[in-house]
Amino acid sequence: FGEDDSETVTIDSVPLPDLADILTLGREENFSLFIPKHRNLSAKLINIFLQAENPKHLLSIACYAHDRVNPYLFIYALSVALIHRKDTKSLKIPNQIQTFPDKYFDSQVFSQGKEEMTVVPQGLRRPIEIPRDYTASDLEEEHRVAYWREDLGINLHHWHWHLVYPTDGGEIVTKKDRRGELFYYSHQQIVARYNFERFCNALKRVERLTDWQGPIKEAYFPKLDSLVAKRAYPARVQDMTMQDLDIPGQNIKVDVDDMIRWRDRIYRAIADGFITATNGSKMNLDDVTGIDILGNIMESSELSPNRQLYGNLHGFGHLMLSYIHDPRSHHLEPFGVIGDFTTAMRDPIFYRWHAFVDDVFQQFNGSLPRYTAEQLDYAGVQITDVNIKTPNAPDNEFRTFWQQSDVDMSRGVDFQDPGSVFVRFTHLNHEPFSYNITVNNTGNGVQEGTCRIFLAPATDERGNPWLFNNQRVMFVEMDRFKVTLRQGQNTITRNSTQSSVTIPFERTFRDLDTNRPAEGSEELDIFNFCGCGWPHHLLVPKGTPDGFKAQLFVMISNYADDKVEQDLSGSCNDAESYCGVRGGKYPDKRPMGYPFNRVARQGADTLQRFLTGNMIVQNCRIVHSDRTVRPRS
Amino acid sequence: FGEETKSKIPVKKISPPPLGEILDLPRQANFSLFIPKHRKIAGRLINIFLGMKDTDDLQSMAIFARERVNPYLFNYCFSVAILHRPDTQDLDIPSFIQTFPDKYLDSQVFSRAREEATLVPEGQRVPIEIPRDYTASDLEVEHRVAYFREDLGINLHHWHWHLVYPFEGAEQVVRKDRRGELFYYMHQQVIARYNLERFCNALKRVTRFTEWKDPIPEAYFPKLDSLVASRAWPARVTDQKLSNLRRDQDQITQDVDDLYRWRDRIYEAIHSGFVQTDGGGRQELTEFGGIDILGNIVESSNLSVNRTLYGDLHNMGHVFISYIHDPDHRHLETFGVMGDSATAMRDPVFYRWHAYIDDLFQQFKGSLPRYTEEQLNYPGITVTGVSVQSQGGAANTLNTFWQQSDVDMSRGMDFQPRGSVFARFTHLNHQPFAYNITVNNASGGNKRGTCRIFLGPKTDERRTAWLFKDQRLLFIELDRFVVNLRQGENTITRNSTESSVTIPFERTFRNLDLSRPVGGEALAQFNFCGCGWPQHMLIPKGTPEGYDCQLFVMISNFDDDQVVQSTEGICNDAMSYCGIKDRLYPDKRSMGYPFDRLPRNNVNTLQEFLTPNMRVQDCVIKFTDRVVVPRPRN
Repeated sequence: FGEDDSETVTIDSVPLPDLADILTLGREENFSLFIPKHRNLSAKLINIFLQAENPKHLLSIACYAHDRVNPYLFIYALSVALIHRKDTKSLKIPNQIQTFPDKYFDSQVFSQGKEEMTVVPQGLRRPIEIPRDYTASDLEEEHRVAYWREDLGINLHHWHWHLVYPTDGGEIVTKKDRRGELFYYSHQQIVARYNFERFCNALKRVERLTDWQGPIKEAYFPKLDSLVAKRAYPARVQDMTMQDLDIPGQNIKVDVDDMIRWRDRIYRAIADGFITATNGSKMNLDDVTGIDILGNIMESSELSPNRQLYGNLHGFGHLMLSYIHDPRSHHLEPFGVIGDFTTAMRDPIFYRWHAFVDDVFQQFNGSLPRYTAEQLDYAGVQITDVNIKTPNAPDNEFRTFWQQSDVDMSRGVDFQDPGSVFVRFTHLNHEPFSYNITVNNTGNGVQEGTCRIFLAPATDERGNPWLFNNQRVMFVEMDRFKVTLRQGQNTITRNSTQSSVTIPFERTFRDLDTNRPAEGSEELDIFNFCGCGWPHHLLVPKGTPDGFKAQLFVMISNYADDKVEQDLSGSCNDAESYCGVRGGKYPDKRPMGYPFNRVARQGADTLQRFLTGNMIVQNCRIVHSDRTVRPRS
Repeated sequence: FGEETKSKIPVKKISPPPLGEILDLPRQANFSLFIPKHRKIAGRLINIFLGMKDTDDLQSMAIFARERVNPYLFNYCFSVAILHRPDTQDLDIPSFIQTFPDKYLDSQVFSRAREEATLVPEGQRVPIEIPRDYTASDLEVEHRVAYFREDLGINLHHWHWHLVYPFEGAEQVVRKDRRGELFYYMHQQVIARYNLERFCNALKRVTRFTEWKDPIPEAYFPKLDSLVASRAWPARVTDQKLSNLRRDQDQITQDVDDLYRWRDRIYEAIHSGFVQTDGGGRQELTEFGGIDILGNIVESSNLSVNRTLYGDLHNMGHVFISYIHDPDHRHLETFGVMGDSATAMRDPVFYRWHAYIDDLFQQFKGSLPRYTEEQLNYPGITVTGVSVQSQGGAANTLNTFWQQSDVDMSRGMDFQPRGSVFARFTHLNHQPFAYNITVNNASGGNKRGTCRIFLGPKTDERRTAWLFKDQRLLFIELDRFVVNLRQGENTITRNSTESSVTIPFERTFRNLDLSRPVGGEALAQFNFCGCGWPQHMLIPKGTPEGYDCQLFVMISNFDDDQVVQSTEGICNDAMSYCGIKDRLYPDKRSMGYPFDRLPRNNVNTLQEFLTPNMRVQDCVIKFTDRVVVPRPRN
């Protein structure tokens, strides 16, 4: 719509698809993947995009749909299609934060942004600073971890994860290797990371949301406006109680009692060790695939073997919470932030809900056979030492601080595009560091292993030493990579930026127009898929000024038991731990979370007793310094 | 900021006074007159504007302040100053709806308007339609009267009333004839009108909000964005409770128990017949002056005789409710719509709170001597017939319908003027009608009288007949005017559009640039008179089958009504609820007369209450569910 719209794109004329009920979602409505109706519509649109004969047809159909379909739905469906079509691997997926900055920024920023764009010529514009504490104050205990919950990178990661792993839309998009298990694991890690962050802020572990008929004490005021719906995201005040939902406009009708029934059936299945499929047959929940089945049941995805019986527990929990302010649509209100993947992680209740969801998975993991010392050990491989080095810091010290960064939001400010407007936000960051691991290979010849690095608080909230069974669920994964061990002494050095958990800052906030690699290059391919990945700036929890005590755990497992046969060249796999690899199998044969995903063997009450020769623990400290680093100009 | 800002206005250099704490309110904050701190700094800014020695200085000062001061605060103070300076009678007050349309219109409208203003050339633009039912659905019973609560004209009237009658500031802006009494009467009539509207929608009278520690069942989701704060107005969900306020930033530290204490002291004053002044003295609550003292105490204004003792009941009630979602500011939330007189009437709880406040005044009114027949009658004057006639309708039938109208919202759209953008909204309206009153003057000479016309529901919610003492509170004033009565038979014809309660539609929504008179008397009139009930809401909605009402007409003795003053050339056409600018309230009787007191002994029904100078006519209000579209603009 700018004045320089001189470029014309030729569009093939194609038989136009029947959008039919896809149009029943109004253009100004908000869109939520938790709402079954929206999910069905998106599945239909994804299929239309997937079925386009070639990229040119896809473009024509996309142009046609763009002018008619709800914008959130359109962007979601097109992004999923681009990720999953073979012939569009080199097409770019628009970055959410630039397309819909309203889902990430304080609403006040937009009027300032508009003002800046209108009044100040490009070049003279200064970034608009977003205060770190705009949603609440420290009177609210939960606000202490708001910098984490409201981090742009975390919310982008979460959105991207669900873009890569949709729950519905046909086998092409849903049937992925161990997707149910990855749902469990990536969310387990979110809760573990959140708890770690809470410890650093003198907060106890998040409480599971188990009382679904009592008041919820956590309030949340998102202070976000939806640019599409032109309405504010509703707030949740203190002490609200979930209600039966009846929202005819969204085709939602579910009782709190339904949730309770689904929960009890799932617990029953875990206790029985099998689930009942739609046709009445039994499916065992074994120690290899059980967690995957359970993940699909819990989330639920269309891979759930029996949605009738086990329902949609996780999804409807989100919905119940998101409509808590207007459960029967008396007031025609849209859903709150917890009803939208892009915004859900901002809300404290997200973690209470997922702490509950995770506990169900832990119930199941607790029922599995424990790992024996033999299953854990790697005969002939001993880790003799580990330390981490941060430049200019004592050994075994992580250093965190506040960092300011700029991101361009001009694309999302209505439809006028007179150049860039930058928003300057403040986020946690850490000094790059490296792990130095000394390994002794006393076996015969060269050995291959997988090095697994985790970090957890050294003590519980009381300052007491952990029982292994409690500490194990607190471990956050830092890295996982393959090592080759010569006979004798080996020294492994690994940089924090290589982490298999994270993607680099530039990729989280990439500007698609300026940073895009050349057409047809392999880099472009990688560039596209890989918006999924924990933001690197949040790899390390915040720590405390006096140094938060943590335990670094390193293990080298036998690669013969880890290995997955596949060709990984060229596909994006640098954030495989939480995101898997594109189009391939999850590149680690072990159960996700290994070795912390099961209850400890007899006698292994503490982490020290759990260790076998191929593991080591190093005490370290996370030191936070309360200074703010300005962006490079 | 447009491209064509070529005309330069010379600005006189002045040395502006320090703004000091006025700047404590950030430019993006929301502004509420109910918050004592905001009130205080508003008082200071008004004084600065009033203190400018001529209009040139005022203009320079305004330009200086405008760049620095919170926009809502600036607009309010500047408007008050213009209204109250003798040398600015000819200046415009921009219509509030055009300056801050965000306080009146659904937030969705703005982005569409921006789109329209950017993409569509002027002349081809179509108005943006605002749906009537955007805040809730009929599942919510209170939503049935949302068309009334959210009416743009009603909210503009309320904002304007409080602009004309500030409760804080210099003596010259606050001290007005019978302002405390008018606070009581105007809000009493709001409640009466709301209740009548509720009856038309099969709802019972609004329940007083008396249990201040219990949950409030009424929820309200305003769906308005504040353009200045760039934040949405917070909602109130169902079953929220008031909490003690600890809002340091707003300098509010108040307990719910304070409200109870103030309430109990006010009750004690009412029941003992006097108030205790600041100095410890007693001031009697007299038959005629007592209500004014009480009005200032309850509101409270700075005319309150003892704010320490009687507190700030009505205002703090607004504040408590408006901060119900974030009482200690832990979530950095601004106040809800109840905290702003421009938006408060949208919220169902406004009426519950004011029903309570009104009941307090009625307690006092109940303690006054009843009107005797002599105080009511006008010897020799008999009203012999009354009828109303709508254009082209049946006798004694009032007709209502939906009307669409357009209002220009371009002035409030950010900072780029790109011509007009209209919002089209739907509101209640009625066919114009006329009263025909026949009066017999047997007094033996020419007489003058005040003709007082009220409308009330014929039965209560149970469809049973009224007791007078209850029905009297439901009578809404429709008109009040002076009549000259020749000897013998007189026929009085009066048009509904002449009502002393209302201002015309065009004035409520006036566009200052287009319809502004050139100068002189017409301009002066144009300026002051934004205050007044909107003409389109004069008549309640009625029902499709016809809602049964009683029209009450009385002619009182002008000797007892007359206020000797000149009202020449001043805007006095909405004097019933708004008074007259710079003049005494133009009716010596207690406001609400003759319904403001309990009836004399042995009068139980309206019929029994009547003296010969009064008459009741049954009539019906028929509602037709059709929407009349606006005449095309040129």
